Amino acid sequence: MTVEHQAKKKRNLSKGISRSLVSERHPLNVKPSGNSLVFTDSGLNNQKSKLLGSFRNFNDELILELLSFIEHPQDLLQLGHSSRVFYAFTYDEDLWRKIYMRKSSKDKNNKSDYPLGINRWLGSWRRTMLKLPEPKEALIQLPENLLCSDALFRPFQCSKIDYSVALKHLIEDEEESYKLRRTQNVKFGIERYDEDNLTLEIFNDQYLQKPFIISKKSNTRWPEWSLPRLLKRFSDVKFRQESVEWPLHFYADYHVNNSDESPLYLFDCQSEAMKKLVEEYKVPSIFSNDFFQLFNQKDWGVNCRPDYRWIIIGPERSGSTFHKDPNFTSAWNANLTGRKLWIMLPPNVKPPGISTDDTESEVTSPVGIAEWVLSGFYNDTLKLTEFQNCKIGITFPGEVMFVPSGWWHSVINLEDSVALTQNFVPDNSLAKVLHFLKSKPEQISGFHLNKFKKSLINFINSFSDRINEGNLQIFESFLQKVKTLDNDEDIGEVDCDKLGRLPIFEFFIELIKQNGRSQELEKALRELENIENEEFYKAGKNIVASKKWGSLVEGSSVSTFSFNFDDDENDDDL
Amino acid sequence: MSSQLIKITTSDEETFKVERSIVERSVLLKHLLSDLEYDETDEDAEPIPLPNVRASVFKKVLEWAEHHKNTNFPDDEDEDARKSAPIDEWDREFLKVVDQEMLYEIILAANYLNIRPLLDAGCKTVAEMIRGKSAEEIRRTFNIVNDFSPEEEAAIKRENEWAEDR
Repeated sequence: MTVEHQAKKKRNLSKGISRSLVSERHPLNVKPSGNSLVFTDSGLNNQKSKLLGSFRNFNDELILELLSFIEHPQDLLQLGHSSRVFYAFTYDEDLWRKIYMRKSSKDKNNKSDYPLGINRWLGSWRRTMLKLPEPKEALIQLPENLLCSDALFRPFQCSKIDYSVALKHLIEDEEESYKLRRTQNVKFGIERYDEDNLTLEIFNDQYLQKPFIISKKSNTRWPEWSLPRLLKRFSDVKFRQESVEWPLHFYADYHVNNSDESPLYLFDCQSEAMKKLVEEYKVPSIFSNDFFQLFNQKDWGVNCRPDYRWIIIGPERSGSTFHKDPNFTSAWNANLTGRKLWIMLPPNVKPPGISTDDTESEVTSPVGIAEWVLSGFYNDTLKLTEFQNCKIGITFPGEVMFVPSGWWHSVINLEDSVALTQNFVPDNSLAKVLHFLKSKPEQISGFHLNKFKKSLINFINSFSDRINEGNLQIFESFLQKVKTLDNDEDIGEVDCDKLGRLPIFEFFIELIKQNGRSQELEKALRELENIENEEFYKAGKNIVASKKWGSLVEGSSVSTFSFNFDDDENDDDL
Repeated sequence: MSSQLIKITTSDEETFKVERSIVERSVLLKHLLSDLEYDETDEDAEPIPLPNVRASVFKKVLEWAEHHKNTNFPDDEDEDARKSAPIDEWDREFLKVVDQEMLYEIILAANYLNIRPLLDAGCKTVAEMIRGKSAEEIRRTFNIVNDFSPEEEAAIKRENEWAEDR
């Protein structure tokens, strides 16, 4: 047995994360709730009561809830200056972040380049909002065990999570897989392939239904978009970070120095920079076949494709909680710098720690990523790998992850990272996408009413005589309805109930046909019929939602529902 | 037959008889009633104990619920919208006339009973009481004892100077 083998033997990837990771001291000496069980002291309790005054009977969560109603930084500051316990409560970063977000969302008319005119990130939301440099912060200390509070300690602990310790064995194993370009993790690892060895045929036949990694080919395969390099080019250009838009240099400062439990994630598709960047890379050839391109056909005046390519920048600890990509698209994600951990589950396996409704129209993650890991959901997911084909792996710089349509995935940046991602509809997932567009129209996202309307009108003008009569009728009655509502300028204000749904499914079908791909369409429609029959059969067996399935197999898609009018927001996605 | 009422006993052993629709403003009690399959038409039904709420406070909560009998509160979905919406005028008056201790007890009760709109109104009232006040004024308003050392006072003062309306 070689030394290497012995080392591998010792690694037990299924064991998961130890719950007893040591935590740093809280900057104000807040302790975990558990300490209060060990260190009970009537003197301490008495002192705490005095410092809390009228709020002595409120539990910590209720106090934080109460403080979240305070709207002005000055008020929060003054309350914090009333006693050392309130100093600690008002030190909570989430309170300040929420005030910033709430205020900046109301501040749309601001002419400054920065939300709220705040032009410097000072290392925390509190200091940034107060324009208080770090050395000037009072950092009022708490006596030992005066304040034992998970409500305050837990977010701090999560912000200090060190994945290189927590995931040590997995990371070592994946480093080996990366070097050898072949996964060493037989239990739940993700397969690696060389880009040159994967033809479109192999991809379509064998790999469409499971995640895989295209291993690093050369140092020049992907553009060098490290954050410092991007900063040199786009320092003052505004990028989107979730609900805020910041110049890149502001985000870069935030990126290197923040204590957020879930750091803001730069996820941008429409910045001035992105317009240039999209010209600087080449889509892997096996991913170049993309049916959603049909929604952008310049020659036909069709231009309504939902946003589909993003640059993603996130510091260590940032990431996305479990989600499926919008509109049942597939995705590829090229990791340019840093390492990303991927936790991926097949469409029918519900991720632990996540709640959804029956149709998965609502997905909620009650806890952030770090807490998801620390509180044991990562370990629960590991248990699923034994019988459920769940995949866990790490992509390194230069590697590309393929995310099959409908797969649940959560991504954690183990290091500061820059990535590029694109959503697409490959050949063999066409039937599934059609099925989604037809059966879950209320979950379609990313189409904009005005662009869609214009595209449809232009398309009809070019092809009216070749469009299926039924579909043409659907289009015209839709356009009629839009017309009657058209006096309203703001598309967000259009009464969705009156409008019904956008005929996206029908439009997509016509686009495929006019593109001369009737054969592929027919094949997909046959598959679609099989999927529907299968679902009908399953539904009958479970005796649920018979009406819904009934209308589905009749092929009628006239049920009323509202449509997601995304203005410039997009479903976050990796 | 007159409508049947639900019996609820407070921590100080006072028993109230309340209409179901009023009781169900409390998400806690609503779930409890459904879990217990509580049947108010049953004369012998045991009263529901509320060990955390005093009669005088519960009376106020009922007064609030009675007033809002037909109010349709929006869903919890948009937290920001909920939190930044102004206090309902009636609620403002209602919470203004009670003494401060009662206000805190109403908040505690709303929190315990899980009555979101009442809790929001209570929190907004307290946030308004904090608004624009100095640390010293806040201490007086809420009976908070100050135990900062002179060095800490100096550090606080420094924070204040830097953060003042800049």
